[in-house]
Amino acid sequence: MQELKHKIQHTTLFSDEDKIAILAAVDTYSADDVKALEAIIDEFDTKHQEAVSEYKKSVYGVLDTIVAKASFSDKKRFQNATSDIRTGVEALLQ
Amino acid sequence: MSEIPKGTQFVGQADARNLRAAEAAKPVDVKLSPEQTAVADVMKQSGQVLEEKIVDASEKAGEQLKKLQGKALVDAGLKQMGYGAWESIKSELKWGIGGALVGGVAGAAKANATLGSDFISMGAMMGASQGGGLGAFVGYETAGLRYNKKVAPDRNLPKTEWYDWVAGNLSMVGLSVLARGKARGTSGSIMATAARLVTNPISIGGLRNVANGLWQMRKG
Repeated sequence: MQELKHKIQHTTLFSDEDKIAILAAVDTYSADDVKALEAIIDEFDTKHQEAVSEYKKSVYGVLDTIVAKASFSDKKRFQNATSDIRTGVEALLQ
Repeated sequence: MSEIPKGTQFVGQADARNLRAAEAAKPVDVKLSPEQTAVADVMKQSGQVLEEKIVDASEKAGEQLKKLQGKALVDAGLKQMGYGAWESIKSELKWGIGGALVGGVAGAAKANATLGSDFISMGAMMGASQGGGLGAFVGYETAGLRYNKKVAPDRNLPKTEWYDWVAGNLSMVGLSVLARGKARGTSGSIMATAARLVTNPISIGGLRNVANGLWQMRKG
């Protein structure tokens, strides 16, 4: 049950309001509901993570290409620029 | 000299303000570097895919949750379409960030504004000088949002409009007062939710990083 509560707290599936309501009631759920809820959260989080990873892969691929193609004089500037963008994307897609 | 009728003194000032705002809203001719364009394009295209996938997963989870017994679970399931909508807007805000920030950064560069810590200047450029062009760009983009095409009509929710997006972006860069002004008379709760999603400290920090990176990619 503790593991499920942890998943409820950290999933991006539910709004904060829903998380509070579900956490308050989760101890009263039937064993079938508990099992089903865990499976739903797992499936959603997996799909969410895959989608985010795909997004990052595409964006970071372009950033890598920009640095690779940069002239010697621009290389450092683009390295700094792409590093900043990566940091920003990581924060935004948490 | 004729006396100005009482109660009308401020009309002229308001007209002048509106005129200045209209002038400021004229789109500027932004020249982006190839690198800025490449980043904006990939963020936009990949963001559309991200949005589709998250909304699909949200809807599927909602359908499954609705079949369970616990009331909070059923309620959460019923709200999934709505929450999917928020996710959609959040994704939209994020994937559009590249394009808008590029425009804002380039606009600021054109006016010789300094960036670094001066995000208010950049926000002003985005909200004012870029307003017209950004509105057209984002208006076109938001029209195709899955939320607008499917979720809003099905659930009788208001569609999100480009000004929601712009207002959200303005609040991201610190012009929250202006953003609140823009929100008046628009699609209320969606705007408020969108603004809340992008005004948390993590989002602001992330946007600052993205903006700084894009700024460094400007031409020479």
